[in-house]
Amino acid sequence: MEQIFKPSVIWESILAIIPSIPITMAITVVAGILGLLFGFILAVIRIRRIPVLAQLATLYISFIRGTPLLVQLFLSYYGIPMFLRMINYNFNTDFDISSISNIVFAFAAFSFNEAAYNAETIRASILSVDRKDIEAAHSMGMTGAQTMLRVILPQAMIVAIPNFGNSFINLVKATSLAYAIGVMDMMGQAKVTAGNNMRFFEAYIGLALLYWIICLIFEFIVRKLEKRFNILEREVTLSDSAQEHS
Amino acid sequence: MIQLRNIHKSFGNHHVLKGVNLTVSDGEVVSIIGASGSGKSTFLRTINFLEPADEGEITLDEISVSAAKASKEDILKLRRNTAMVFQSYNLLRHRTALENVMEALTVVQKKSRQEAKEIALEELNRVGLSDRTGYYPHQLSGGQQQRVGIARALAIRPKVMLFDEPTSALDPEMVGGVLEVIESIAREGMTMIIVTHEMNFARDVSDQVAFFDEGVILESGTPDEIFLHTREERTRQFLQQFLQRIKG
Repeated sequence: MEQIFKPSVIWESILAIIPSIPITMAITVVAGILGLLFGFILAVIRIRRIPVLAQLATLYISFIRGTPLLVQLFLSYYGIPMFLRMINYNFNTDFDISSISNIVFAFAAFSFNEAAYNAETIRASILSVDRKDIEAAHSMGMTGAQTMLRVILPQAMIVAIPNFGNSFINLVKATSLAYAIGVMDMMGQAKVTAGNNMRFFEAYIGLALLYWIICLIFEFIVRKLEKRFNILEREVTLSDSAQEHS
Repeated sequence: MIQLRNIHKSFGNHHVLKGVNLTVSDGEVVSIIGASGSGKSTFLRTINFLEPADEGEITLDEISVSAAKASKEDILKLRRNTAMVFQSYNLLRHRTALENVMEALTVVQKKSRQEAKEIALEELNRVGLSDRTGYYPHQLSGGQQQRVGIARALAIRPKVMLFDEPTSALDPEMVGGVLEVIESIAREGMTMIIVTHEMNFARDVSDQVAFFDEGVILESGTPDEIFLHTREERTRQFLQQFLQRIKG
């Protein structure tokens, strides 16, 4: 009789899924970085209350936060080609739309999604920087850009890193939705593997274990980063040792 | 020389500064005294545009700025030639004592890190903090933080130093040390404008004392003129309250 549960298949599935890890990581890293950059721009637009742009940013963030990520993926998958076709038509350009790999639409959807969430984190952490430090920078004669780079961002970073860490780990897991638009990431690969041998449960157990391990690794890195950046709560141990030397 | 003419400032309907005039010669130490809320801190902050005045002229040697139509460049010029010491120190909390003093030298004055470090160490030594250079602000006492603040201000070699109640936030036992540092800088010929509640200090250190009341300088003169030969009734009342406070 056929075995009901076959643990050895878990291992086989894991081996089959491992080669697709780079795809999952590519989506995570691209969306993580673009999401940070675009999120920063959105945050600054909202803090500076730039007319029109600020209202558009608010609308955009509300839309992204109020719609499912899966829907956004489909909007990206069907909407971007349509948009490019319109450009081709109106400007007589010649983009080869069919040659665009599906992963590009995943990059776009996840980046836009991350940006909206990061914008709020970045905005809150920039606003948390003490007015006194900013005044000190102004009194030294720093320009606005210098104040931003030398004082506001480094301090905002300290506040934002735990949040960025969480959202990055959520992103790793969220990328599993990309299979829905045909991206062969870990999730997509697990589905294919399971389809071949009809061992769905075993494949998804293997998949779950892999995601878990990846998330544990990132959690570890985030915790290290938090420690490194959190100068503000560093204990006075430094002063004790220095006193002994003097 | 620094000259402030007809400085006006309102917050909404509240007219805080009603045409303040003050002239400070090179090397002169001016103390501004007066009740809380009389506008003296606001006035000090209009000098480097932390609080932009609505009206008035600010002249610092060859830099002359009209408050109402000051450009960004004008404001930067004023700020780069003045230095402020704040009531609550305002050290950059993510930088060590040494880095706080170096910051304006490397970022604004574009000095090399090496040169900036030499200057910073020299100034930290001058305020008695050679052994605290690697400490973050939260690892220092209030008095030490304020001395870093003073070293930071000295390091940029300003034309005038602005002190905004430099000892008001300190524990009583820290006040003496900080005042001593300020006094020693004054004796070296630094031009200073000091907003303070420390009357003894104002009397001992200043060349000129200005009494601020309801948004104007009601009376100014040498410490003897203000403390011993007071002309205005309001000044006398204020000084009496202060005398009672130290007796009580």
